[in-house]
Amino acid sequence: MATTELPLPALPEAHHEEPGGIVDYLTTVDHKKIGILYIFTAFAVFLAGGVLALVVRWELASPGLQAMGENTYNQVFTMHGTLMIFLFAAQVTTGLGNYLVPLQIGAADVAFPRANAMSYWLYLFGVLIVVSSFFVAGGPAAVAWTAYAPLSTREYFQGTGMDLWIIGLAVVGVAGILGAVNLVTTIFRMRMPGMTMFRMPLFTWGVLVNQLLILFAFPALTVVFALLFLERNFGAQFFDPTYGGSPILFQHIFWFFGHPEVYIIILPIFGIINEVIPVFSRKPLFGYRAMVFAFFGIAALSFGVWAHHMFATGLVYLPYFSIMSLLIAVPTGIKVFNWIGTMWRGSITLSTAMLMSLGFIVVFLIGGITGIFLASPPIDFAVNDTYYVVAHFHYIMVGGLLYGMFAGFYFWFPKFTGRLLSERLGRWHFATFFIGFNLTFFFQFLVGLDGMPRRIADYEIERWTSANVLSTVGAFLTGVSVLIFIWNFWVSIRRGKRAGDDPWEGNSLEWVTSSPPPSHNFHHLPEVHSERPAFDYRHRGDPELAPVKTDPERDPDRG
Amino acid sequence: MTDEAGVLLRVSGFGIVAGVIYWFVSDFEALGAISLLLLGFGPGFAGLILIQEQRHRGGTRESRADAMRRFAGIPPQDPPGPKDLAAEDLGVLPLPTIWPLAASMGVAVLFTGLIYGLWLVILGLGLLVYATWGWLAAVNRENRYGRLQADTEAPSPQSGPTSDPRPYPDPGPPSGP
Ligand SMILES: [Cu+2]
Repeated sequence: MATTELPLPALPEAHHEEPGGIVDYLTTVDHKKIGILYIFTAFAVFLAGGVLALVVRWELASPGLQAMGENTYNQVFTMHGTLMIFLFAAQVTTGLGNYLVPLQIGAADVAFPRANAMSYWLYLFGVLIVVSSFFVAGGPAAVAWTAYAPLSTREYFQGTGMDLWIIGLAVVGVAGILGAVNLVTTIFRMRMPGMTMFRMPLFTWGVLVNQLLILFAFPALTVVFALLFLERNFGAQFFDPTYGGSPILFQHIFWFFGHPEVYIIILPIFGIINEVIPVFSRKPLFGYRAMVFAFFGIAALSFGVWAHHMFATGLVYLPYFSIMSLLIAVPTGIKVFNWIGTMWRGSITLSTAMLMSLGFIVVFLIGGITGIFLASPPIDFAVNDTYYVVAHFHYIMVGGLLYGMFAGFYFWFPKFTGRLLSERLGRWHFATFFIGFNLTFFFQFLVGLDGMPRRIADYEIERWTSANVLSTVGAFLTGVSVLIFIWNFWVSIRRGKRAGDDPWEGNSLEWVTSSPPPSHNFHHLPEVHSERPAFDYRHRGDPELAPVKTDPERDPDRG
Repeated sequence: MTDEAGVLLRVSGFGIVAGVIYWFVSDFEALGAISLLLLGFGPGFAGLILIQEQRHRGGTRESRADAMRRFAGIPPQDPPGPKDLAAEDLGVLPLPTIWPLAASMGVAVLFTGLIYGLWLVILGLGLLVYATWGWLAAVNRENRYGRLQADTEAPSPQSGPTSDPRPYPDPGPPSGP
């Protein structure tokens, strides 16, 4: 029987000698502290990547080279992409998962607490190695976050910066695989009795599918980096056709990782939205099971579409990848439909978390629909490598990820700290972010359709200027919104309203324990007989709302 | 068939089907086909292991038809969990330890050594071996002394190990509304 590891209460005195302060964090094996470390590290990376984005926007605000030369520009946007995609986006959700998954399934910790600590430290060291490339001769990598060979081979790009980039990301890749083994095992093996797979909160489902994707996709990344590193440093010739190599090889393997990476980033965010919307609509989630299968549909399809990034190479079979890419719209559409179905006739509270979730649906829809256009080869040929693509994936990545992440922060901050984030500042945060974000990226669709290429430091066509100015203004407004959030955090963690254990009347088990939870997570666990255990527990004894019990004689220990 | 195995087998099924179709429609492009088939075999292997393990523990007592239904994603209603939980189910939290940090540092130094030279590789390897040794020793120590203490008596899940001089706080009613 897979699921009866009881999470209670586990050598309580294991914690009696815990040192305080920084040593506490250096030696911790508590999934909550590790989750916090993940979140803080990822957020620091996000701020650094954001500053680089502002530098890019500063340069592009008007024609001509103002702030930097072309090579520096290449380095700036390369590191922007690297920090954001590899070192922030996939990691901040891992941090949230680390904190919340054991709480949501009623476990005392993850399956391998020490290995969990190790995956965080590997991640941190990987970040440090990548960032250290700023300080070596020649500076950091300048070949875009995709690092296509042969552009990234030693023949075309010298310098230790590129090698540090590869090694740092390889270390982060190892961290990711280790973390994935840990979280998948936790979800498969550590659920409390009664918490069957189909009673798990959808955030946990999102993390499960996300970690499975990491498990299957990161090895491809590790492989491709190993090939590139061997080629750069040990004379191997994987990508050079004159020696029988293939220049397309890199792109194939990279995108076999690269497209699932999009869903590695976005699936836990779907999970967050799935948690927030029912709570603030005062209704159960519409179509729980359909949501779970949409997760799997998206995840599986994401492995079959890698070459839609390679349409323009002329070396891939277009119909297959086009059809597979278009199919992803179906499970994604189911999700959006179900979110709307959940809100339908609910009594909606427009808290900041809910506002962020609504913002998420809007921008994600725009990002998704423009993506459907890109899945069609004739359109892709026309707009490939233009700002249309940049706008599309920023609507998915920035839009999707950040709105969902902030929704999660506002939603779970009271659980992490025992205090509420200020709703007034939250509204300001949301308003500036929503306006700033759309201002930044919407006009990029238009200049993209007009033919403005991506990854350029300069442009000479005057009519592109106004859109670029708006973009830059929007980017700085987005920066202001992040500052408002940081201010909100700073104020609320000291003087925020006391939250109590369950400020939102949540559905999942983390709301049953104290805020913040004790080191072993629960003093008491309610019986689980639906996918809303905390709701059932709040309404125990209420004949109208109490859950219908199924026959306990029937196969009591199946999980 | 458990839901866990079902999850993995569904991924596996997709990988195999997509791989075979891709192999033919792409005019026998090997790299993508192999990648997709690996996606089929890896999770499939893990899923079969899970089923095997389930059999060893006596199986799910589920009819074949029920198992197929579960695979298709329409399992029968799951029962609520048992109320009383056995002592051997106690999870044991490990003590705080520096070794994961040290081992990670070893890995990082070792990898960086691939750029800067053999001496760093050796240094990193040394650190990694030392940290692994310390790690295993810590695990060993805790297994020997930690778990024994927790297992000597069967504590009720809500009171904690009764042998402990400072007993666990009583499970008051959870606060909140
Ligand atoms: Cu893609």
